[in-house]
Amino acid sequence: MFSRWSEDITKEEFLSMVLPLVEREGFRLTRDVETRDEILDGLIENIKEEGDSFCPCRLKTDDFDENRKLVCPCINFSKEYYASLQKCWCGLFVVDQVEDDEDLFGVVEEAEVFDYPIVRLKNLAPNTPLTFEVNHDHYSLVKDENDELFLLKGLCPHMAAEFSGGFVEEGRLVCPHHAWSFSLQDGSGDHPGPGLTPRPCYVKDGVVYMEVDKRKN
Amino acid sequence: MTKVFGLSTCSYCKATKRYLDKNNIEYESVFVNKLEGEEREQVVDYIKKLTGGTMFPVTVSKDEEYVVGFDKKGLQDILHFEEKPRPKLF
Repeated sequence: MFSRWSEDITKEEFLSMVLPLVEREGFRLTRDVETRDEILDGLIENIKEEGDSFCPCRLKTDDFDENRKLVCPCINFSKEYYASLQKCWCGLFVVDQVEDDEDLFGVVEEAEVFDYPIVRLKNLAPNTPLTFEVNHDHYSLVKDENDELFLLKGLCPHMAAEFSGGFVEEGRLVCPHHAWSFSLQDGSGDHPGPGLTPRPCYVKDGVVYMEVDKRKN
Repeated sequence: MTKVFGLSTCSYCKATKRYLDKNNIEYESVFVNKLEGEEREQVVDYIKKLTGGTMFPVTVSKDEEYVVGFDKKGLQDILHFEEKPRPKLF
């Protein structure tokens, strides 16, 4: 069975590989040491017995589509859900701004209003839109050459395209498909019709967040 | 009989059982990841139909009420007990 992990993988080696991926998403390792060590024991056991880092609190089945969402770190497959819980399912990783990690142990309460960690600021390339979908809405986050942040809601109204692969030119977000452009400041387009909607975002301890209110959609 | 369906690797499952032990709740423990063949299929189907997924632990009361995860309040509700108070030292 092919495994990307070495046979004698240690907890430290495992963390050194996955932490950079987790941290760029605005999560971090839990400070609840007892829980952390127990979870890591389970992960190492799964690596050795199941061939990959399947979540120790989720069951691997024969369904590939389901199984792929269980491989640690699992955050990106269900980021909105885990952001609403403030942690991944097993609690190994928590949203960066959580204050009391031990308080989250065992709690599985999906919040309706929560702060969604978009990305760690240092992982956001300047003038390159980061696109994502939250609460059924599409967003583009841009950091300009002066480190100012702009969050715009909406798809390009021309052909309903995402801005992934787009770029920024002279203070405007440019759609990579047919070059329609939109002001970073107020979202207004260079063609008749609707533009994009500017939305607030903020930075805390190096992570960019936006507020999500699931009651609205 | 109350059943706790869990995984041998899961820290929430261990915490749930410790909590039930501490409150003198009897239960049968099933490690789903250690089951094989038809028995495993049947249990997994049961869990999926009951909870809609395969997250653990799943604690099921004799009345088929269930709690997913380590949820103290939920466990108290479905198993009808109050948490034992911490003993006073003085």
